[in-house]
Amino acid sequence: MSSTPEGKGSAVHGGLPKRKFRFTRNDWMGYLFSAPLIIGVLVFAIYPMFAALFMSFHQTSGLNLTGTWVGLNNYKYALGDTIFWQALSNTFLMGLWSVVLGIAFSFILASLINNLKWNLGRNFFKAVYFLPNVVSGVATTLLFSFLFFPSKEGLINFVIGLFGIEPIGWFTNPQVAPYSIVLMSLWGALGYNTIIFLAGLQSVPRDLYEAAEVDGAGTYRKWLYITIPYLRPIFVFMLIMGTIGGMKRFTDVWLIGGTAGNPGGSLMTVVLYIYRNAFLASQMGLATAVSYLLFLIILILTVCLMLLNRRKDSLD
Amino acid sequence: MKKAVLLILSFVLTFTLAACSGGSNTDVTGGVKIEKVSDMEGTVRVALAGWQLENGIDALTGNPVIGLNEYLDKTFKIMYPNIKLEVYQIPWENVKAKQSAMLLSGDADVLYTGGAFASQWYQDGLLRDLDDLIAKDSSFDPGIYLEGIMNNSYSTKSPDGTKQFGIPAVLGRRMTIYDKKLFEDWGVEPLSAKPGPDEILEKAKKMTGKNPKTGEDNYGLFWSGNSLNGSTFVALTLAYGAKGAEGTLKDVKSIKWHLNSPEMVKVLEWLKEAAQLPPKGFVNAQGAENFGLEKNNIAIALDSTGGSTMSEYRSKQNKELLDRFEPVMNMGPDGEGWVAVDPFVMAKNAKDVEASWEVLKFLSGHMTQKYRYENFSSTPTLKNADFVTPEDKYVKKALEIAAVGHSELMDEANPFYMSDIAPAINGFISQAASGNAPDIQKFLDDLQSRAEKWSANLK
Repeated sequence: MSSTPEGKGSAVHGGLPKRKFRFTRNDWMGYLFSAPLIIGVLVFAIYPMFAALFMSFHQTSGLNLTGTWVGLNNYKYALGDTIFWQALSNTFLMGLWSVVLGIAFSFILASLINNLKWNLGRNFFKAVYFLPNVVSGVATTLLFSFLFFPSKEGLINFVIGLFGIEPIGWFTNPQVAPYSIVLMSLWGALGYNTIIFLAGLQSVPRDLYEAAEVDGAGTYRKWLYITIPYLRPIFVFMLIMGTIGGMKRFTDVWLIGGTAGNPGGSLMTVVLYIYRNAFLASQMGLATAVSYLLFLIILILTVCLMLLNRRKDSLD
Repeated sequence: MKKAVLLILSFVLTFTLAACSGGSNTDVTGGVKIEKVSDMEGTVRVALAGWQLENGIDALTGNPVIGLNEYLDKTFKIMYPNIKLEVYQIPWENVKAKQSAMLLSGDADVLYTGGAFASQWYQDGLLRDLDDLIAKDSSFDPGIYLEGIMNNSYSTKSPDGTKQFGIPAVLGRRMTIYDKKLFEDWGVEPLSAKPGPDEILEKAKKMTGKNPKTGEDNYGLFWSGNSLNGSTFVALTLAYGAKGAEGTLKDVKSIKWHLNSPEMVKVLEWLKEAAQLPPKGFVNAQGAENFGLEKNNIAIALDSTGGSTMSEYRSKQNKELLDRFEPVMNMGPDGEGWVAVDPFVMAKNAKDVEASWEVLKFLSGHMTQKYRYENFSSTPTLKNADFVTPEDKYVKKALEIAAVGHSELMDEANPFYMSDIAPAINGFISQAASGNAPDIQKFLDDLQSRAEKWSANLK
């Protein structure tokens, strides 16, 4: 944690003093105060991660977590399972649309709110758009299951019926259901994303805009060439967090489509696949193997997104 | 002015508190005088899934209900004054994970839980056999429980059927219920006492469309298209003799799968045709919100409980609805179907076995089942449930169905059934409902191949 003061008791090696570490009383006190957190992380985060990895190489039955060693069998089984690939494809589809539309809408919304001259109105809209974020996922899903009721009794179908459109099977048509889920998740997440963008927008230096105005730039050009590039770190953050969140989609699809991911398996996601195997079939070994596959996929996606951002940095 | 407002608020508060406070003079023992039974000492930790501990109000009927704490104060604590109870209430949501943690950490002695969870815990070696306790306790009569669920259920018996690990406490209600009014409107013969799938399908088809009398849209049939345990599918497999598999859950790896048999083809053909009849939302368990009530537009509901009709009767004494919605047996050859049983079980490492047994016996016994039925409409598991009201024909029918019930391998205790078969069937139903049902033989061949692969992957 700390080294001895330079020169005191240290050997000079190649002209540079060699730092010799020795615990002092202050170091021990530091460790003592950090211990609860370190122990917490070790016990509740690091240990479960390694235990899960260990378990993924075992065939477990129920709560007998130290089952038979099966090597890569669980991984092979999952990778050869068509349902796993279907789940992955559905997860990507819903995740992609959620991230793209989520970022686009919340950025546009934040820009609109940020441009409001009336401070009270700005706070009002911030609060209004943030409200869905405090509603639990379960409540949101229940609400939308009634809004998106598949017959003409459903509110949305009733409204579109006024324009002569036939009722849509929002959650019952396999072609439509994933997009209905995306719409539902947009409603829930829009407020949070908007607040983050709004904070970013308010941090853009005013003098950049003033300089652009002197050069004759209009509102659109300022938005395109100053606001958007300045907010790139926030876009990257949203992209990464959105991707991670999208890959972990579970509550809404489970509540709507049950364990089959109805209709027609279109709402089957990777985490639902994990849940099915872990908690319905008690196959923890298989479930942890798929968890690690998901972890790897998320890791690769995140690294790619970060590399993409770094490459852009170098071009700048 | 301030004083007046304060005075009004004080009155409002006083009246609200008075109105909301529950009376505690209700009799929970049905007039039976409770006396001390034993001086046995001990501490028993009880983990109950979903039981209400405090007094409250029934959300559906508005009637006051007595919580477990008061019930225990007036009964068990008088009978066994030296047994200390530590009761933990666990909500049904994710109950398996929570109770599993309690079992692994040795924090519970007696548990009330879902039948499938109990079965899996028993196979994991976390539960204790009760046979020795039953054998030496002359006051315990296993004969009071329904034969089919006490001796032939994965929820109470070991997979090989030789050991008793659970005592059935609450029964799930799943029966076929039909709306007499809609049958009359359409001029269709009422269902027989034990209608098979063919009779149900034939009559349901006749009652799908515009009601000839009211002009409203009617649906011939309803069942939950995303049921976790696929109970309707189980009843159909019983009806068509499609066993799906042979073997025992004790040796899952050796199970021989017969998922693509001709009998199973018949089950799926039935589902394919029937999927056209319910309201579209049935694939997500929606569309039957009014079944059992005045505005109902569904003729036949499978695996129904009769709960909403009975609640209406209890709250408004509406006998008309009770007469309108008639329960019949499930679809199996003897009227059987899938029967859910929630048992009481004992942890393998229960701290005080003798005291735990007394608690388990009491909580699954006649008096507690009567208390649960009267306050929470829980369906009893007793042969002679004399406390069931004469009007409650749904509970009576559920008991009849349970009496002929038996567990097969198409059951939630079977891990592959839960992880793959039930979801696959639900997926098939939703595809059939949207008019895109896959080729049945190919679908079943795929399922069979997945099952074989799954078994082969086991060591």
